[in-house]
Amino acid sequence: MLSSLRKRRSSFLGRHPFVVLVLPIGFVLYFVYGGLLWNTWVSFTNWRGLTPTYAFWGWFNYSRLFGNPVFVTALKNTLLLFLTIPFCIVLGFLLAVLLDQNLRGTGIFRNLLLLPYALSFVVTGTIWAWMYNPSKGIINTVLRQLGLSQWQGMWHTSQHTVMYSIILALVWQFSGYSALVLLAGIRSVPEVQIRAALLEGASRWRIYKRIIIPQLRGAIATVVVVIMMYALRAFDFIWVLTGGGPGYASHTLSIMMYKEAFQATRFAYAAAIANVLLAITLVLILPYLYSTHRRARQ
Amino acid sequence: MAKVMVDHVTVSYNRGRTIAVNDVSFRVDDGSFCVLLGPSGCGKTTILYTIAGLIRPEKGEIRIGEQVVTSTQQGVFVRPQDRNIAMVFQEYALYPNLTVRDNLAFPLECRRLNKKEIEAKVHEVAEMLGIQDLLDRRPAQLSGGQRQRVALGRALVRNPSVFLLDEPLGNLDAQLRIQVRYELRRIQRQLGATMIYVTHDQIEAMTLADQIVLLRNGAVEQLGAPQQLYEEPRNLFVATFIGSPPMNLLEARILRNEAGVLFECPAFSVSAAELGISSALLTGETVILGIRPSDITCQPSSPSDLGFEAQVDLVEPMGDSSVIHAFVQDKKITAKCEGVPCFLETRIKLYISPKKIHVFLSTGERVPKALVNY
Amino acid sequence: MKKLARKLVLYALLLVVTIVYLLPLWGALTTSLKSEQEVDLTSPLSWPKQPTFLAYAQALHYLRQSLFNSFFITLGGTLGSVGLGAICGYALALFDLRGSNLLFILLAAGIFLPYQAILIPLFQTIRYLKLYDTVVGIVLAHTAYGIPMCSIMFKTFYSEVPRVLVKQALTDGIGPWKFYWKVVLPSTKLATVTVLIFQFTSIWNELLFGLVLGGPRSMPATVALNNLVGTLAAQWNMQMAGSIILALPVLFIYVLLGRYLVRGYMAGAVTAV
Repeated sequence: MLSSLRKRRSSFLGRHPFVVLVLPIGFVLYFVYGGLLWNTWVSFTNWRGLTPTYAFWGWFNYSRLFGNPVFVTALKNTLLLFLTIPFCIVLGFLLAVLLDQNLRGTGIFRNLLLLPYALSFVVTGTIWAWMYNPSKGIINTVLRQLGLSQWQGMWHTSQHTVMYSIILALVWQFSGYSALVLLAGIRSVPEVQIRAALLEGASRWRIYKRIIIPQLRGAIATVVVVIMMYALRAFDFIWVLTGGGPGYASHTLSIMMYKEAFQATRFAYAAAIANVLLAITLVLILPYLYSTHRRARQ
Repeated sequence: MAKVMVDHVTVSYNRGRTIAVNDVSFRVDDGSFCVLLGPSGCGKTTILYTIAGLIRPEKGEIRIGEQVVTSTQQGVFVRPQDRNIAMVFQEYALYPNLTVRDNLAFPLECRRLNKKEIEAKVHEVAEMLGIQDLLDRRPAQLSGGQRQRVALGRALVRNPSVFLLDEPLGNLDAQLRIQVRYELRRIQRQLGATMIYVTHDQIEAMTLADQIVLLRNGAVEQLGAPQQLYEEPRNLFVATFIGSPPMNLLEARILRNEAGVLFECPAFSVSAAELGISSALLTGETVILGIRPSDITCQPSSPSDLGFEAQVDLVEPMGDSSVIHAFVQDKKITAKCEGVPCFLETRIKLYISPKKIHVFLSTGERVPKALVNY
Repeated sequence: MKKLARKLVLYALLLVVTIVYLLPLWGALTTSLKSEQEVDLTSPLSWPKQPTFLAYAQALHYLRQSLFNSFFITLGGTLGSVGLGAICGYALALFDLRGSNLLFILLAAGIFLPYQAILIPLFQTIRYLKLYDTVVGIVLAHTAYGIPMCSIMFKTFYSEVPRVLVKQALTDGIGPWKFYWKVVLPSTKLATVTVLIFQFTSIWNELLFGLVLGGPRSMPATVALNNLVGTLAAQWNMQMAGSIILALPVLFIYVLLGRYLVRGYMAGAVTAV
């Protein structure tokens, strides 16, 4: 029996059981990191049209970008999207506090508020497009019915208000998630601290202010990072709601990149835009990753 | 069954900054019960894991039977699953989603025995351990003692060359511990198995072992049969670690005069000749005299016994004997005497035979007794 | 008494907030059940006088093929990314392999990847493999880009398996994959379901890959709905019906298996921190 045991152990998979990891690792190395390198290379070529040319063209794509007013608008809009973050945090916090009031059945409400987050941006984009419709949409209709007709707006059809309309819709979609994370953060504060404070006669408001909020740093950081990552990549929602319009008013880097690559077939140019987006992401994410990694090591 | 040889093994962590095991060597004879004993952090578990192949040492060689399983010099390393060892952990490590029967059978399934052979073996082991009624239960439904038996059973089922046990009785209550200890030793004798057992409990070590390897800070302090470590401890650490209650230590000044060498401690004065040691081996100004509590008597057993007075602080009756905590001047002495001395007095006289007093140099080493006919 | 009043006020507040918050979804529902004329004439928030499923039928007719595509894409992408992510997470969580640290960093960083930065190479790769406008191509993309997130999620879950069990299996002579199949998987069913549901909803809801890699034959329902919105600007009821059809599987999961989805969101949040 012992000899047959030895024979079986000598099989290749027996000796190297983790060789299967080659498959997923290979995928990630090629599609993620290989892709990043490839894209960077493309951004330095002059590829236009459907057949790729890989002739080196230097920094030309990048320099053209910075002189392009569309790019400037797109960059501005991408960063403007970060406005959703503070609104989501505040609204999420208020909702979380409301949910934390030890009422029965708050679990159901929490789940209901989370529903928009679970839906596809195509779904919510379509719904908001209809809601924002200047003549028939809910918003303007309700405003009229409330006698506030002068507050009606062009929402997503006007270049002045389109980005803010987008931000409003995104705040709506993400606040439920923000409330979820912040509620978990609130609940993770040890009971003993709250009880001790109550015994000392602290008011609810003071408890929140002095004990709970300071300990929400982790939860807030999570929400910030998640929404920030979304804002940088945001494509789906804007594409469905406005397609980047009116004109170029709601272009973001992601929208511009898509249009340049897959409508104008200016692939090298688009690659450069994508790289700018990547650079911004790195700049924002690396310090955060570094600090959490260090914290985890300690 | 096989013998195990550990040869100059050194294990370090953190790129050599922390040394867990420092040049340890010992051998375990085929069919013997070897206990790795020591305080926490002494490296005993690390050595066990190194023998198992869960840890690779920085230096050294390990042999199981005739096979070299680890050798840094020859670049050999056999994986744990190929070493034909069986390990039992303190936390039992039973697979939670399998029944007891499946837990016992699992290692065999991987060896491609046919169903009948597996069933037979499982039953054999279950009966040996008295768990045959538990075969269809899940670990969560078992008590601590039952789980430990299943863990043992899983090791037994495989007929390994060596059993490695890592403080397996640590999670059991006192009574259960004694019972399982007895059964473990019985099974080991019955099977003629080679077992290497790690514990910090010196009582366990004394009762179970054929050989004790006492470790501290990654190095071997002494190895040998339990009685040997008890009667001839190599240094203060061994002397105080083994034996319960621990050995009393009294500092004594060395006085040299024409008559010979005298040791003066708070309790009494005694000469080197009486103690049976050669004064040539002495260094320094002081020595430490070690007296085991159980060697102290309430009545003199022979005329050469030394007597001294002590102030009783506390008496702990234990049924057949009592532990007496007393003070000699301001030094604490523990004595273990038979019976329950009805001490209403607070001052008593205690006796010790000089031949039973151990002498330690101030460096901690024990001075060996000259071979005198007692 | 004061407590009761306070409770009632808070409840009322919560109720009102939730209702207002979900108004858009209510509006979508009511609109989808109205006929075209009614949509024009009535307030968006009112329940239809004569509810009709006409809009649904129309939307379904338009979305039929794409819904099938979405189904297969989501199924394939979920199985692929969850399967490969699980084995990565398992290896990272319980075994100290050479390069574990590096792998972990690579995967963790991969979560934050902006898809635009790899979109063109992905497009080219799929074209070279002649997988453009095929379901398989989109599945491939989702599998590859789902691996980082799934791996890290599984690593977190599998780290809860007591290490001593792994050591026991090793010394028992049980190989890592047999141990995985027979011991780890059965005791981590919760984790598996959580990640599966998380990936399922993520992939079902996704637009970008479908847009770039899909074509008339293979487009997922998200792309199809987007096209619908573009071409038939005025037929609100059909757009709303289409949206609700698209949202149905997610709603279904949400109602029945919602807590797994919530667990998934929380786990995703934890891994991001």
